[in-house]
Amino acid sequence: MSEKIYSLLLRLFPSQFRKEYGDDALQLFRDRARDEKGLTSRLRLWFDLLADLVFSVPRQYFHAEPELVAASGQRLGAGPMFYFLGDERPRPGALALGAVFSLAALATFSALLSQGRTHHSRNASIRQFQRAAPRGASTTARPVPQASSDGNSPGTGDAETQASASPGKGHSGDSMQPAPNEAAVAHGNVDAAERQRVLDAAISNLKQHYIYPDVAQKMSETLLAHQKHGEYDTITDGDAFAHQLTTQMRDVSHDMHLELVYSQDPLPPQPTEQTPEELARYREAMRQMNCAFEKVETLPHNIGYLKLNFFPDRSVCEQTATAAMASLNNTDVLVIDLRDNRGGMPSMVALMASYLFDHPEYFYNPRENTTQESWTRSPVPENKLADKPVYVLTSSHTFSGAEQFCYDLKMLKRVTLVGETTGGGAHSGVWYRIDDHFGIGIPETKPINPYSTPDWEGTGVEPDVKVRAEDALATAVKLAQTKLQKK
Amino acid sequence: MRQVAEQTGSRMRLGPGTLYSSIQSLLQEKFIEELEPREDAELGQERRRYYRLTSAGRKLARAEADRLAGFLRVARTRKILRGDYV
Repeated sequence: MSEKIYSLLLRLFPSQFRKEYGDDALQLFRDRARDEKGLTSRLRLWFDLLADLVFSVPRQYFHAEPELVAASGQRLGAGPMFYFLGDERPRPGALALGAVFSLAALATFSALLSQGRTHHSRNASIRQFQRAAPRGASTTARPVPQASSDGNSPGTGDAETQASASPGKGHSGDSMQPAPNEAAVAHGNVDAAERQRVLDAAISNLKQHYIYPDVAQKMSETLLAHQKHGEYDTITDGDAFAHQLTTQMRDVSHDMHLELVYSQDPLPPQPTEQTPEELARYREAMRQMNCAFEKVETLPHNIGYLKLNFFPDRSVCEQTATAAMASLNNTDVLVIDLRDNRGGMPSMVALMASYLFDHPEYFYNPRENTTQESWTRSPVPENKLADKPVYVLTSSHTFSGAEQFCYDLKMLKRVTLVGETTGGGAHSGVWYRIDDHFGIGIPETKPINPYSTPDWEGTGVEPDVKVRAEDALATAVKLAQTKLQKK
Repeated sequence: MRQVAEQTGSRMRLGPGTLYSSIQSLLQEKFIEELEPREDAELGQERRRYYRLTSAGRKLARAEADRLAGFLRVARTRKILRGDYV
């Protein structure tokens, strides 16, 4: 029995050693076992044998593969090398054991990998929770700048101004019925059904409204391909989903105005046709603020000064505008102050510009295709301002429609811009509400810019005379006086 | 093995693994050589292997013994070790 155990233990030695000395070692064991009888002696024998194994087995393995040590020193300048370290064929038992170990290692590895994935998604959901918390606490609805800027009614690009400035013709668009699982979405969880609904709506809106149908088709195919690959399956965060769709649409179209938006708070309903009550409220608001004509006065040296804070709806404010311009009709120089002007309606922009020409001028609007409205209504009867020097004051707050006014008049070389570079808001998409939490902004027009320089999107309009906004009026007045003296 | 244990008063006990590892090393370094197998009436069919020192092995053993004897002399002059024999 003891001999059997020892012969098994001998298998721990390298085969080469076993072959050479195995029998002798066993013989030695037999000799000792024969001589050393009794419990104490036996225990001592086994203690000796085990201690011997502990020291000599590792030594034998180091000793058995001197080629390894030698090989490590020989790898000079050569490519990969192979060495035969043993010429024995592996035993079937060893092969089977190897296979079992490989499978076990593979199984453990894949199990750990999948464990890691669940761990990650658990972390992700914690992040979502943390992100959702402060948002849930805030009562501010996500501002959607394009919310009321639709294709028919030109936008201001500024939600706040727009609310007061635009009586807005509504655009019912493709708005979908509110989703049945709003509660779930409201908590930042987007399920498969919601993802499908948003994707379907995005694709149908793109195909229906995007300026380039072929690009729309390509975008739709791309989104569907991503869906087919299961890329959306694990996204439960509304923001992340909207961001991913946006990125993928832009990857195809390179159109930065395409945007899928997610809002934690319910989005306002799609603007519809204005009710008479709303129109009455708008009229009253315009009356109270004199249609944003804050100042209309004549400065010393007969310099006309007009401060306009946004371009209101022409149908409501045309009379006010006409009256303001009439009161400045006899001035020698005109200073139009747009430093606090955040934009407004292109129809009013064109109306104001009409006073500066004696013939119709094309007035480029990057948000609309050319229509009859794209020309100024010059000449304006009894107007004397068409040939007068005009200075327009700008600031970094001058935005959107006000920038259109500055840009076009600068391109037409009709005015001198004094102040700061403007805000840089030229384009906007048409807003389509998908449901309470998702919407998509799609540019629908691509008007051709008649000027060789790109418009002011993202860059703003550069002034001709660059001074700080607060110094713009004084500078313009000084320039005007100099000009008048030269006359 | 038994001889080693007896010579060292059981202070050094060689196990088979250690013994044959040492034999292997010594063979490789040519300090010992194996003799032809020979019949031993007493042991019958049990196989025994016999080794003897080569001249290089004897030289090395002597050098090692001298080295140790040198230590002994030092130990005696420093009065660390007393007596004639170890």
